[in-house]
Amino acid sequence: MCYTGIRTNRLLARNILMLLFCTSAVHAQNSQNNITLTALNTGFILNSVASIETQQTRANAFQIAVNSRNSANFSIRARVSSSTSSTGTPFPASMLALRLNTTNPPVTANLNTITLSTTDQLLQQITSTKNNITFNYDLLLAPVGYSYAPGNYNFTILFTMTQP
Amino acid sequence: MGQFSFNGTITSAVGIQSVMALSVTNNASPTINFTNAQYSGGYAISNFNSFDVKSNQPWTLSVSAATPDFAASGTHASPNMPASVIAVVKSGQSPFKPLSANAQVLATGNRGNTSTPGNSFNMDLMASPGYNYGPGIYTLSIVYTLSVQ
Repeated sequence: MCYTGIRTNRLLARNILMLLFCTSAVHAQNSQNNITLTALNTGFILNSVASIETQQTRANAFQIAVNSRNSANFSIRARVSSSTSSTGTPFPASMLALRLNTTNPPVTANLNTITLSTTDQLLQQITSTKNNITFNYDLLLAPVGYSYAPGNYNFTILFTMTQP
Repeated sequence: MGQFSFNGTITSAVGIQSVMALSVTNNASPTINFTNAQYSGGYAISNFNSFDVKSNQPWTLSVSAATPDFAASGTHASPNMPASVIAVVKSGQSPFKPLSANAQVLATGNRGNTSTPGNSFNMDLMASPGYNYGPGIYTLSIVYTLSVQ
């Protein structure tokens, strides 16, 4: 915790020094940790009975590259932050799910399929290796069925990397 | 040390195109042999065909004859028996609609699969040749067309 309160002149100098320390620490974490997202194959075209009646999967649809120089664990969460449609009836967030395909380098990770929602879903909780880790994810679209009119539907998925 | 977090986004675009599927099942033999009474009174077959529609748009199923007249074979067959000798109607409705080469609406329905009310139904068929056409073998193809309303 940073102590920013100023009660007396005597404490002022110490508080300023601590504030500077905390600020520089956050900056140090920022410079040592990052998350990079790369969409490779995240689109779906549904144009047949089979494609709208069955779950569609895009293998290795996107990559999450994380770099944590800190030794602490970090977590990656995801949620659907936006769902829009040209028809006026957007998909619910739960139509999408994510499944880890591979990591590079190999690490112990959560391979379960995670169904998305509009609130953060925990994808991974990883012990930092202090090296880059690339997570290759599959993107799964639940069967759309016949309830949705032809049109364009767009999701935005927000990923958050957090380190306590 | 405070918690930190970084955010990033990806987008996924889903394009849904028009998807329609029609399944037709013959519930009766397409070959009809007439008795005396049926020449004048007509030969009715209930639930002659069954239809199952899947569509992600409201739909119309039309019916027409592939040709204006039957194809005829046999020494005494008449070359001009019209398609209107055959009339059809969605089961439970009326009246029968005599066929022609022009499409007529047989049924309409809403977006959905075969479990959606109205997307699975039967058709009755009536053949009424009367006595105007000679003995022979007559063949007619019936065309069903599923389209967007």
